[in-house]
Amino acid sequence: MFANLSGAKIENLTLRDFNLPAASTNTDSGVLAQTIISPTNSVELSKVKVFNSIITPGPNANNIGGLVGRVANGLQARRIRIDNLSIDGDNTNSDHVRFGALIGSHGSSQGRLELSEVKILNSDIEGASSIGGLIGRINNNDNLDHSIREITLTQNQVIGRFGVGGVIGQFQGASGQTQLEKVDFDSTVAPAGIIGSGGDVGGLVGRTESTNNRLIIKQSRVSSNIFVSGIGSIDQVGGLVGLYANGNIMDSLYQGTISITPTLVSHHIGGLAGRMGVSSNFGVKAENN
Amino acid sequence: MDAQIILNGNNPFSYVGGMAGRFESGTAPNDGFIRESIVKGHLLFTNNTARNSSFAIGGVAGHFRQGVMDKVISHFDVLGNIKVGGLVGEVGTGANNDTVISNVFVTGTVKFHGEGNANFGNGGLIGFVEPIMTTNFSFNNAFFDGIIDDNSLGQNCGGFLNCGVIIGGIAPPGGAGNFSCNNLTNDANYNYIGSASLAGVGSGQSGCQDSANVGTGVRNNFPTTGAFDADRNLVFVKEWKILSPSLDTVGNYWNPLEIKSVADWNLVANDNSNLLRRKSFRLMSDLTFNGNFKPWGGVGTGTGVGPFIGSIFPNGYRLINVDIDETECSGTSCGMIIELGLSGLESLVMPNIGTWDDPLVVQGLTMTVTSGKNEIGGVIGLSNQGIINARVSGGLIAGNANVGSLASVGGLVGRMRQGSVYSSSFQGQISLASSAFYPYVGGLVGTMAVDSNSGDMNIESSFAVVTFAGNSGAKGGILGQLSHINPGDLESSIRGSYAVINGFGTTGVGHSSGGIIGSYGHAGFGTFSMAETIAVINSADASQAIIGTYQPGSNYNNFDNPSISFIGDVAAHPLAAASGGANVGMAYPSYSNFLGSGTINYTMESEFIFRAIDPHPKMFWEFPDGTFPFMDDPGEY
Repeated sequence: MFANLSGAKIENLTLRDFNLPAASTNTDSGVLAQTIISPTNSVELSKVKVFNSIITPGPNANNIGGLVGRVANGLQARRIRIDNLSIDGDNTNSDHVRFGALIGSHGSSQGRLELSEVKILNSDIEGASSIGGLIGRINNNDNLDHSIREITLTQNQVIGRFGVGGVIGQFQGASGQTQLEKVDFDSTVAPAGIIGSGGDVGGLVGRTESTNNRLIIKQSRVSSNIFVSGIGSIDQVGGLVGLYANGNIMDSLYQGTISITPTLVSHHIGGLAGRMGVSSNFGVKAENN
Repeated sequence: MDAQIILNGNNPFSYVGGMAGRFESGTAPNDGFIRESIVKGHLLFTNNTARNSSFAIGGVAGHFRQGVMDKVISHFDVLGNIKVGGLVGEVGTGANNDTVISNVFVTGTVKFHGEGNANFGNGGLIGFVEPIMTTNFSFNNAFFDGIIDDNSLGQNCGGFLNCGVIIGGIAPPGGAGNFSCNNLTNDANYNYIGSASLAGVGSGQSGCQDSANVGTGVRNNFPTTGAFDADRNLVFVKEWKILSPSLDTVGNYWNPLEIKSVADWNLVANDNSNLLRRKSFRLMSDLTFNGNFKPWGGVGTGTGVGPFIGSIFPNGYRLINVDIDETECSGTSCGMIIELGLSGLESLVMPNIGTWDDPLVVQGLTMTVTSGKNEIGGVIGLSNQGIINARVSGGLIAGNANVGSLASVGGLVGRMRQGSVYSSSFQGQISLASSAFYPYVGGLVGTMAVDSNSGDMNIESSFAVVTFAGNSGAKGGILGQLSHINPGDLESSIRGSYAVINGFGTTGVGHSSGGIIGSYGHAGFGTFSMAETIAVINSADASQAIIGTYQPGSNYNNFDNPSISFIGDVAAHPLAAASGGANVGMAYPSYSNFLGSGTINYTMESEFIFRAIDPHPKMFWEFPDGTFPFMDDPGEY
């Protein structure tokens, strides 16, 4: 609908039956906007809904979101609903990266990301790497504190190869903190709500790779099976997080079955997290889970 | 956590844990921890090659290094071969920070598999402790109340190979760090071959392996503050709030549908939509059927459209006067559940009948079969999964000459081709009239068919009090027929169970009956073992004391693996009723792996106490602020 949003405030907008064919979706594609990248003017969204829409990624597509393709600025979004969305990428196409039902990629920026009261329903997201049920990738290099809270994802399927998360595919960046609070991923879609074919797969988050960029998970739950089957090793698969480099998981729960089928020796499989901490990290924590 | 982890394929896995595969807190500040958490669930390998070569497998963490674990309960069942622990598979230290494990409690099952493979570093709490480096490892206030199932046949894992009830192996020191242990307590049940040391054997650091450090049988100064009170109850009580259910989410394993009446039960039986048979259910009251019972999980009109693949949570309620009408059973099977199916990829959650601490209680069950059924069981006709906990009393299964030519009849399960029976019982009569086909009849299971596709199959902590009548094929107090055909390296067993037989009736030509098993046929590799199992035969009818007929396969030379082992106390009483006499009732005498040279400990008769699998403690889960999740929907958006 928009190429770029800067300083916009949008409320009570419903978008239905959008079809973005492959020819129009190579980079930075979303139903509402391709990008939010103004360096200074943050964007506010409230009560925005996207229904019954299809995005078919082109052969070199990346940064694909049901709402916005790429965000590199402050964004406040609350009461957002994405229902019956399909991002039908190819998990064997290594160019199909950073796909999410809400945002494809949130890059380094001058503004905070604040999401609350978001529902993602009955949607299918498929790509190769950094694939999330909400956001494909968050890259924080500016010491920002992002907040993502009260998110429900119901009956969705998230399919990818590496860095696959029910909510966020991958965290990158050298600083800052992101807090996920009251996030619930509940799916009975067969064979599983979260499907991987490589590694770094988690019910909430596939991979956090920076030891200085903390991810806090509070009062969140995943009720879904996780199914990972592929050629080679399958490393770092967890009920909540696949690779968890730094942060604290509190008052959270995974309920479900994790099924792993590799063809080579594989490592780090856990009900909460596949791997917690790396040798150079600060204190990774888990309590009251 | 409440996770089931399924590892497929024949490649090994390393660092697998109920909570974390690998935990590592590195450089300062050393404030990494796992604390005040509960881990529940279990681990499955679908391929024994992978199971035997995987390592560092723990109920909480596969590998734990440089951090604090405090106030953690695990009833996550683990299995494997190398560095397996009910709490942690492998503990490591490092150069930066100490490693501390304290106030931990393990109630899960820890199963080691040997089978001639390297089997080391396995323990009830910790499998293996890597070389202590320049930092310290302290291990305090740990309590093991789980089950060790060391099935490493022929391996003396209590000795050289470093397995122990508390800690398996400990590597020689690698630095100046110290290893200290205090208040380690063992109150475990374990089936153990060889010398069951409280701690395995290591090189150096012997203080932590001194039995003086390990209390046995009673709590050894276990702390009464912190995570546990004096009765081992959790202080930090939690309970998850149920999300506001919608039609899309109700009926799954975690949010079962409610059955409040006989009509509700029969609604499932009569559903042809292919929907309800995939759901799970929770009883909300006793159900008294009195002629109105309809079975679940059949094929065809009136009985659903396929096997039942959900779960039944009895919720403390009973099924009363269950009268199974065989005309309601479609296909060749019949039972309360006509067929219990594989969940496969449809749900990835194993169906179960009853739970560890919530049995399905059936009081009064009748079934008369005359129309050529082949798989006939009081609870399940044909089972592709198993029963966790079901108790049938007042059962009567009867039939006549028209029972199918390959029929298997059991008090609980007719034919079991995958799965196991745990903590279950049948009390009643199985009466089959003269038949030209001579079905296999068992007090619990008619036929247990172990083959290369079945996976391990076991009958554990179960009993039958049964009166057989009529004239049929091989009858066994627990199992009618054990068919053990080329299952590779699978293992099947009967453990911790008993049968009281108050009459065998008569047995057809070519068959005989046994106190435990009617007929045992074996071909190819694979092992079958029997432990802590007893038969009491209150009948003068002709029978063998333990196994009626033993039929080796045509390729006898394949018997080089242990094909049957009696472990510990396996007994039948009185032997006077057994025509096998001094040969402990074995109809075929030339087996070679009978541990104990045929000596049976008859004192078990008076001392035997049926001990069901220890129910896991219930998990109550509630957030401290009680607000999650979304108790107040902010409205449509």
